[in-house]
Amino acid sequence: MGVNNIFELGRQGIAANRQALTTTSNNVSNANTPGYSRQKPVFRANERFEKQGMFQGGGVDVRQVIRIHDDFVEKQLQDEVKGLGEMKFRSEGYKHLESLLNQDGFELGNQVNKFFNDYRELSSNPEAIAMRQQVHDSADAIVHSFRKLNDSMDDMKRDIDLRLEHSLTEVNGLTKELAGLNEKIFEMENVHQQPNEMYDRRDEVVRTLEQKLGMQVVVNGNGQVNFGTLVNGNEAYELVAARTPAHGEKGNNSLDIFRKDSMGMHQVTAEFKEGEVAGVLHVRDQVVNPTIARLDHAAFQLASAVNEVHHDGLGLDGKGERNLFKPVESVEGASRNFDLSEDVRHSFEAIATAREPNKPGDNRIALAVADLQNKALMPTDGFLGEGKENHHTLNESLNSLVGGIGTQTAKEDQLFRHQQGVVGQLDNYRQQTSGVSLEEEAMNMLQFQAAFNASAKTVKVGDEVLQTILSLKN
Amino acid sequence: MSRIATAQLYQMNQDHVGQAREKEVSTAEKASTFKQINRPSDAPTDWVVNSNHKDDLNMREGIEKNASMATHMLTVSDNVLSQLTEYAQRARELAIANSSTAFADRKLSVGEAQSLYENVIRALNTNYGGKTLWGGFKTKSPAFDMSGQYLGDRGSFEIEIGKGLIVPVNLSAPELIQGEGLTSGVNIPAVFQRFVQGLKNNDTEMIRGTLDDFMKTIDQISLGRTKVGARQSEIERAVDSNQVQRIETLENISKIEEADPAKVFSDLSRDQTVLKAAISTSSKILSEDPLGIFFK
Repeated sequence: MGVNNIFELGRQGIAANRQALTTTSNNVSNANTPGYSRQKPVFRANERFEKQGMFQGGGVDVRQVIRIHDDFVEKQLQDEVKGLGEMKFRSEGYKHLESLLNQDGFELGNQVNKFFNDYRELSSNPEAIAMRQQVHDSADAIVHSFRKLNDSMDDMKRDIDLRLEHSLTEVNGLTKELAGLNEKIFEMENVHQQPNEMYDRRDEVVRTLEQKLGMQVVVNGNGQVNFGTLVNGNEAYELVAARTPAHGEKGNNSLDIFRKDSMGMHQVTAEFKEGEVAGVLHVRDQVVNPTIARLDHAAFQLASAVNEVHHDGLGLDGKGERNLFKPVESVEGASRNFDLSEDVRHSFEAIATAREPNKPGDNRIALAVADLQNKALMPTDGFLGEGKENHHTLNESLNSLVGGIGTQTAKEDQLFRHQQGVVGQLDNYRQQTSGVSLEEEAMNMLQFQAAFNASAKTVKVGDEVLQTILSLKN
Repeated sequence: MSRIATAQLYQMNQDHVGQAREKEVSTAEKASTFKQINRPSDAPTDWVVNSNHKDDLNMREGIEKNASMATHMLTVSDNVLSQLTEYAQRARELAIANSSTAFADRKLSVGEAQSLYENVIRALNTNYGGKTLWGGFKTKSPAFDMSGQYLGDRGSFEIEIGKGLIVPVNLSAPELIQGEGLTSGVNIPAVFQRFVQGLKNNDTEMIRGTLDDFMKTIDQISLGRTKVGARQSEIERAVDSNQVQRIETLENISKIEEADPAKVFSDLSRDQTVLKAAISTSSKILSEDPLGIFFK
């Protein structure tokens, strides 16, 4: 065995363990990096060789640094984050709406109640101007409550659309990044390199995209990850949002989503069935819009029912055939356009209480208006319709609207928490396999440092052996 | 044995402390508001039931106000009837006295009889809260003019005194004062007028003729007072029933909405202990520095 070989083996040991220490340091520095998979050096003994009839060890080499990764768990995680993204926004949306309805909606219910109670009080004193002013003010308060609630929900829809635009901007950045990663990974794999960090980043990007859009992920023949209709190999297609007229459950002027490619713009709103964007669309189109519609139905029915009775009555000035609320032409937009009639807005005396003229104490119309408080004016689902039977009072209907949103809020919150638990559990599994453990890395460091020191010592010993041989000549 | 990554350790501790904090905040909210339902999603069905209860309560409060007003109106009407009884009794006494006395004495009674008649008209024009009680729906003008002519109408002024229970609270002057529709009913102001006229004209027959009519007047007024009593009883029953239902509703609201203080504070104490334990455990686990231990 040649002395030079000792040097070579020592050098290889130093190099391999230095590489291992570098990998460990990289793991330590990425201990908190989201999506990072710990890496591990793969040591391999070099082949033995024969010299002067003797077999000698070939030393060591770090052939590759692999990432510790479980594809199965990663796939499951990607599937589950779709639901998490959607449920998170649905839960947040319901909570926001619940808080609006709990404040403004409850206020509206109170105002409707107060209006009827004030009318009842007016019935006991139809001659009194003060009582008329009270009825006028409570009717005006209903107007403000309907409008405030409507404005709040419009604001909510605007915020949702803003959120949608931000999400799409983020998605466009991510799809472009995914296409770029696909390209680079393909190039590196072609030269037999393993871009571990790029794999991790690609997984992270796909996971974030899944959370946002919930589209199908397919690995193509080149090992590239295609994401729905948005990323195909190295190519990414942009999503853009544009305001369009009402269709389906979408309200007028709300945002629709389009995919932009070489053929033009394609409306793809309906393609998003899962993920945050689906949650955003669900809250906007299937929660907020129906809530506004229910308010419209309640406003329409309140105005129509009160006006029908009021129109037959006479004010203190002896004049009749006047409405209390501005007549509503259609159910749609009734809560936004809810208002006092011009007659009542400018004169308390126009508030009808009497059935016959010149009878200031006639309170029959006032009683009839107050009686509407206990009349079943609304169907169970809160939406008026041909042939539908009314089973609930206006207040019961408004309370059930708020209660219904409360039920949904509680349900969505439970679903979100459950999904959060599922994703958390899967992330735990992922971390158990791929996460960095500082204790483990500390021990690895000690292990590699010891081997590094020992290899250095081998070189030193080889040097001493060589010195001894050289001194023999003297 | 499961491998635990360092980030996982931090995340787990964060989750534990976060959950304990969330629980503590939720219980603290109940403790500070003494309510177990602070938003609809806390208990949606209970929230709806409670909201309906509260609406009902507000309505009942309004109805009670009306019932109180109805009671006052009827009490004032009863006072008027009581006054009319007194006037009729005094007039009858005068009629008895003047049916056989000399003309000179009758002349002395004219003033009192005239004054009694005017008091009757004044009483019938009694106002309650700016409302003429005996004018039917014509509440802004006198019910009778000084000639005893009725100026009101037959309007029955009704008030809701219980949920869906509406009762008339004014008395019908055509019936009870003018005797319309009553068997042997009399027109009370006309009786008084006839009596005054009899005295003025020294018409003994006319004076004697009023004696029976004054008796009928007293009976007619009694009938009115009976009606007032019956309506007041009906209102009292309605008010009592309303109050019972109000109390029951309030109890229901309280049961559904209010938190049990003993339970809430014991829960709060428990949740605070759990939070402290979670923080303390996390601090012990996370304060270890693996690299420091191995490389010191």
